[in-house]
Amino acid sequence: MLSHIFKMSSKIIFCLLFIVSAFGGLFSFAPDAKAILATSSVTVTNSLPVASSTSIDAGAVSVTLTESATSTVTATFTVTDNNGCEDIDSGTPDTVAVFYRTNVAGGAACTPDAANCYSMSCTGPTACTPGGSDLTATFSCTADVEFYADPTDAGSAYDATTWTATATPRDSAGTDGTPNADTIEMDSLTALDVTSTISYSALALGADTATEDQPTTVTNTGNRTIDTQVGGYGSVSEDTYSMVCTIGNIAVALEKYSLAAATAYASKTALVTNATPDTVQTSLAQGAASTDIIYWGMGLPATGVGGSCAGKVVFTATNDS
Amino acid sequence: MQSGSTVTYDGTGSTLKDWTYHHLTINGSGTSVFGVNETLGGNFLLTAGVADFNGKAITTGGDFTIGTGGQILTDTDAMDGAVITVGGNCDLDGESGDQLNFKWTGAGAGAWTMAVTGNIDMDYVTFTPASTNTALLQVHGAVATASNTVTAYSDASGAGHTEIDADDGTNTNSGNNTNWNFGSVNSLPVASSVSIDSSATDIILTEGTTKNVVCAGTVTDDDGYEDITSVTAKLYRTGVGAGAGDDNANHYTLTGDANCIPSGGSVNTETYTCTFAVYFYADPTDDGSPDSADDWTCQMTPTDTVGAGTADTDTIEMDSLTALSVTSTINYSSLALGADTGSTDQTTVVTNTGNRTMDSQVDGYGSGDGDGYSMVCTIGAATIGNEKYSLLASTAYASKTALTDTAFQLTSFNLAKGASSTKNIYWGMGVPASGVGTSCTGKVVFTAVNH
Repeated sequence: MLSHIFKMSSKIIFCLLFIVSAFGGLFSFAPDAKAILATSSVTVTNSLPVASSTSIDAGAVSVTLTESATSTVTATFTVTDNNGCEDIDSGTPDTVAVFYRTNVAGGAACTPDAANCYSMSCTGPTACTPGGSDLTATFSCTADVEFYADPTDAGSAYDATTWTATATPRDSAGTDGTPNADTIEMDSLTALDVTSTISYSALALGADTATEDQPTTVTNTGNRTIDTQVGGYGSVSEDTYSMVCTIGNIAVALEKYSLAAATAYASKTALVTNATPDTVQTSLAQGAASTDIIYWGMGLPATGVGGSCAGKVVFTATNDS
Repeated sequence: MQSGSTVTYDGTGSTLKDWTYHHLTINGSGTSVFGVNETLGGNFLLTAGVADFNGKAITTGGDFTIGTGGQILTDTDAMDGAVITVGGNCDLDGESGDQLNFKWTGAGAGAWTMAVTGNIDMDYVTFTPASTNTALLQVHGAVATASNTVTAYSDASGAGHTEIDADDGTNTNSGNNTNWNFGSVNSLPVASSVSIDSSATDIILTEGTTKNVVCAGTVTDDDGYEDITSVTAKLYRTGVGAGAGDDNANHYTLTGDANCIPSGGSVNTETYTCTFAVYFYADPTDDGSPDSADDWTCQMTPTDTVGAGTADTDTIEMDSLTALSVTSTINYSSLALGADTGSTDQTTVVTNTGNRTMDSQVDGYGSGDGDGYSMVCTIGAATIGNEKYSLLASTAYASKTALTDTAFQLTSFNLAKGASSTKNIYWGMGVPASGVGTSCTGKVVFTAVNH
């Protein structure tokens, strides 16, 4: 009897459900539904990233170095990964850029050397919107290039080549993608630095320094092999004196120099006016600390000068000839 | 006739000659009628044919035997007035299905008489009057036995008369018998208050496995609960009947105390609890099901040392169970950007774990229902339509049906119920040309609905 009553009730409910469903899906009702979930999965084969639009120093034609210091060279580039930009640099190792003299051994795989090969420090990826709709990201990489980096401009030892920045993108696969590169000229930098004072001790009228030297250290602060031009004046450029004294002046030629230490004063080379300087064949190579010494001596006239004397020696770097 | 001689009637039946017989044998095919009273010096033997004693007095000096081929006239007053006096032993043999039937109407006590000097043995004999008048059975021998007899209004009493031993359990006491020993009178057990699941209105099955359904009832035996042997319980869809063979879909039987646990009993009653393990695909009878006009019955039949007693029943509805199970993973392995699975399938096996013929609905999502994706990836996501399915194996990806984020019913699925009823759905995947990466996962929702 109970089951009969239940059956009657069930039929009433069934009729109500039929009425509900007849009203165009106003309600959703699935009393007999039983849902089971299955997990689906797929692994997407990696698509390697591609670098493009590499630009050194915003498209500049050459790099101008700074003597005795570093100059920052910047390379920017775009990386595209069809898996989505967040896949770029998501693995190890990261995207890299190398700045190198184009014809250096190994090319982009060169051994770091301040003269010709720099592993750049990169910032990126940037400008990536996660979610898969954005496939590109940008990088900015810098290298602090030393003053003695190989020049490639006309007249330099490597004037047939250039410098290259090669960007190699990587993603979650950790495998190199397609690289991209830009080239630029490295300007020559011919420069030197030198000891700032040449101080001779007291001399009597008509006396000289004999084999006693006052050395000046010349440092190559550029990226070319250099010779050193020297010329002097007393108080005013090209005044034909080496020094002007409290009383009288000293002719330019009484100040002498030599590349060999302890050269007798008489054998040293007389200084010339800075209007027409002499070239000392220092042949000083480029490098981190490339120096040479010029040894100086002084002679006083027999009369006509007194008190204290001072003058200028002008050192000028010139490309080694 | 000469002493020791035998007269045999082997014809098609007649009135016996008015002779004085010694041994008389009837082995014919018709009815042999005693026309006069007969006194035989020897034996009477009826081996074939019908004897009509015709109210005569038949006396034998020897044995009186009716074999299995013999029969008594079938008239309701066939034995009226007959007086059979046996000087030796009496052997009356009918057969199962062909009782040797003594009929009478008569008048008062002693409608007819059989007096036996020796022993009597009766097998498959019926004493059945068409009245309340009594036949006399007077046995003087030490042995009087009866088997498979059906007896009424038989008086075997009197001084020196032997009690008829009919207590082997095969005889039926139809009443008004005297000096017959039918043994103690058994009272068959009676079942009552049968209840399925404590009178619940319906059975709620469990998907993919069995559900215990308890049928309990009270058994009463006036001979005391100790006389109850056991019960047999049958749980069946009412329409198939109690007599149907067992079938997990519609008929279950439990018998014996190992399956129907007795409570221990008190005085005349004992409660029995029978627990059926009903399979998930048992026929439903609720509204909307194919057998909604039917229900299920538990019939409990008790037995005692003599036989089966009176059964009792209860009925209940079997609820519909619409359910499925399915392969838990769909793994497409690796695909490149812009590639698809072609005609390669990933197969999900859908199993009907309920009791209704069902269809499957399918829909999917990436990380949350309704997000429009089939999968979300380490990078990006694949739209819902990139995952596809077919009911046919090796269907090209382009020809498969795109998955949707709202449930779609596969009306041709039509998966029958049963112990192991399965059907495959074949899946394929296409990866977008760009914007997704690494690993992707999603969910496919399979929903069972009635077909």
